[in-house]
Amino acid sequence: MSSIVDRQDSRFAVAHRGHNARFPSVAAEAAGRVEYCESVEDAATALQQVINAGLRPTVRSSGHCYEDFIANNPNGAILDVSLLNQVTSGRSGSAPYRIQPGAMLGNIYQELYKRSNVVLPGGSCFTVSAGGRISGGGYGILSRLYGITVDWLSAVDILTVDAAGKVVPLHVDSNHHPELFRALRGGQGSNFGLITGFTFNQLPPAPFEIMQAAVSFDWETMTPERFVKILTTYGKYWEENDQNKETWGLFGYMGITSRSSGRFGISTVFTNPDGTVKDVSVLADFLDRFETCKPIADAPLGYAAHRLLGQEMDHHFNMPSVCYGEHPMVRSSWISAASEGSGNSMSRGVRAKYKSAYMKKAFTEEEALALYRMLSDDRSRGLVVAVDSYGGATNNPARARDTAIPQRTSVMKLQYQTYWQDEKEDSFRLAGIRDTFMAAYSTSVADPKHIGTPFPNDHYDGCYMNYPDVDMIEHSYWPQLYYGTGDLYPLLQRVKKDYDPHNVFHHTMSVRADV
Amino acid sequence: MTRRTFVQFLATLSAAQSLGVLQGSASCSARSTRFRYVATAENAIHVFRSNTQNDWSIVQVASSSSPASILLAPDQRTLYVANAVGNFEHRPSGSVQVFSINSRSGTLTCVQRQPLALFTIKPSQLAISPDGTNLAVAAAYGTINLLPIHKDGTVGHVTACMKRLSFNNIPSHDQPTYRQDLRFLDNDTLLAAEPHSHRTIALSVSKDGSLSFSTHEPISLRKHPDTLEIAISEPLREVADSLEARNATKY
Repeated sequence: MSSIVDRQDSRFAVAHRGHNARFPSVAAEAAGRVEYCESVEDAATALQQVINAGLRPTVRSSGHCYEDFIANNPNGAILDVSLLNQVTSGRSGSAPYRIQPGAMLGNIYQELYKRSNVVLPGGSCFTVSAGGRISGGGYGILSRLYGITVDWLSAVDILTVDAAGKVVPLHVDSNHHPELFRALRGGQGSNFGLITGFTFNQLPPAPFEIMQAAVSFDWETMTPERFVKILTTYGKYWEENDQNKETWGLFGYMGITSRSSGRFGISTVFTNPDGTVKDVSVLADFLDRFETCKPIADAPLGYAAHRLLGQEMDHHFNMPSVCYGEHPMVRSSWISAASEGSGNSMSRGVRAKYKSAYMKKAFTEEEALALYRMLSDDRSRGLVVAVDSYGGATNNPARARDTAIPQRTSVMKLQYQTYWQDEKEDSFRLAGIRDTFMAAYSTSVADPKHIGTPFPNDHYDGCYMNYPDVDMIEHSYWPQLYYGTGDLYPLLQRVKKDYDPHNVFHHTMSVRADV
Repeated sequence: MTRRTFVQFLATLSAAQSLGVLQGSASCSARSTRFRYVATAENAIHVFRSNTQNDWSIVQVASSSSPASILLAPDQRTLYVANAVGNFEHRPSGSVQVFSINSRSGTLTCVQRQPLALFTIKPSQLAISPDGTNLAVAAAYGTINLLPIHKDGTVGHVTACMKRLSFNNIPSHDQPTYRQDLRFLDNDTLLAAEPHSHRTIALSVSKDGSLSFSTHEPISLRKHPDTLEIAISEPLREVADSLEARNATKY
């Protein structure tokens, strides 16, 4: 039986909120209760009771949703599945691997490693749980090598609500409810039902070891020319090596912080396709390309001050910087590195805003200068543009046809992030990230009819749904930004109509049924 | 404009444009005032003033987005309008407009437009609690919202969103937009007709602005064929009695 936390319960103040302290934005938007489900049966019973009571259910696994999709539920019910957190395998660690939605990524890595020496190609945020992470796609530091998490997904167990208002448990895979299965491979469970489990019939082997290294650049001595050189060098590497399998074990993260941070940098995680780091020539070659950019040898005074209150920041910046002319690297086992990422710096009490963009090509000089101008300006104080390297195995065209992630020709994914604590800063912070995003996607490579957005064209490939940004719904074409211009969104609309006929599972950016 | 031409005006609008022309004075108390408020699908609310018993003149055409239902506050200082839209401020919701009324001229000034809950779209009916502290909104596919009314007549954020699921309220192109009857039985009880049925559900209104079903199953009801009034069937009388709804018989 689920444990109910209502407004009279002392736990409610914490329970009704997620990690982003901006939500619920007003008290009236708060749910009336939170129900912690301890089993699949609990979840089904709780969902049916909520439906019978005429309330709206929103489903939460770890509460990392960037927007208010869960927390904005006036007098409704949050069904929390964080206690559904089992990770299991077959006999002697064999497949299938089953993961419940409340399992945290760090625990998933540990369980799969200990049981089976396999890995989920997921992210680096230890506390993000499977429910949202997997159903929304699931990128990570091994994605160039192994693809996206949903590329490996074999089946999903989900509770849907039918036309009569009855809860219906479904086991969906490529043969059973195939369109719903495709929708759940990147189209987010929050559109269609309450996910109770994921099944993987196969997963790739865990790397044995990895090598980490970083370079950083001082803002104080930064010039537009150097800034352009850094960004274009970084982007060209991923563009040129998209199909070079020798490099697919290299993941790059460029965290372009604003000038007020002191400096910005590039972090790397590397393993060879055989899971070892006996040969680090790929990593060294990558780092060599930045020698002319004059990475700094020593941290400037006040360096620690630029550690932002932000997701993944600790993980990415806790590495030694590279001295010019040499490449200090840190070698570690894969499992220790994967489990050390705290991923909880988006802690409760922190206000945040995010945006995203896929890029198919390297930064142009014009784009880099647009970012330079914005990030040099105090208006962008606290902003970080995280540029993740992808491409490689993520760009398998077959997966564009059987998953709900259509972006299969991109080489970088950008995540704009800003974090603050004082509500009084809301307007300033939101304006900073919005203005920077607008400037970045208003250059000559942006689609003329969709200025201000990375609308899919030769250069961009839209946005990532697991980094949702409600600002985008100001554009009538927002579904195409997230789901592409092909047949995917119409399919999602059909699935929505068929499997959630009452639109029970909805939020600001949920799929609009085709009615 | 005479009473006759005024009525003809309403009839013309209604017939020619198949509009739900609504009188803000639909409640009995508003009929004693000098003003009439008429919403049209031309995205406007027409304000009429009665100069004499048989003489009406139009004094204002106030802009309003798809007004589907209008309702005067008990103190007649405020007019509430349900905007039957599917999107407001780019979000999938309808909205409610609040107009202050000039007590001398009867003219309207929009002081607020409040969004409804997500996917509470195309609101079609409004109701105000007898004590004037809550505004209930019925919208497409059987969704009901509750909003607090402040002392100045403005409304707060939606505090509750309810929807009973049934085959009758699945979103579909085939279904016309319907009006869902809605009224307060008393300050603590809200009655709402189920879409496309002769049944009504009773909801309890809590002090904190939440809603909950008073009865597990809807109640069979019939409308009087000649009026908008709800005729209470015997089952509802039983329910009303069980709810100790003191005012039930006045319907």
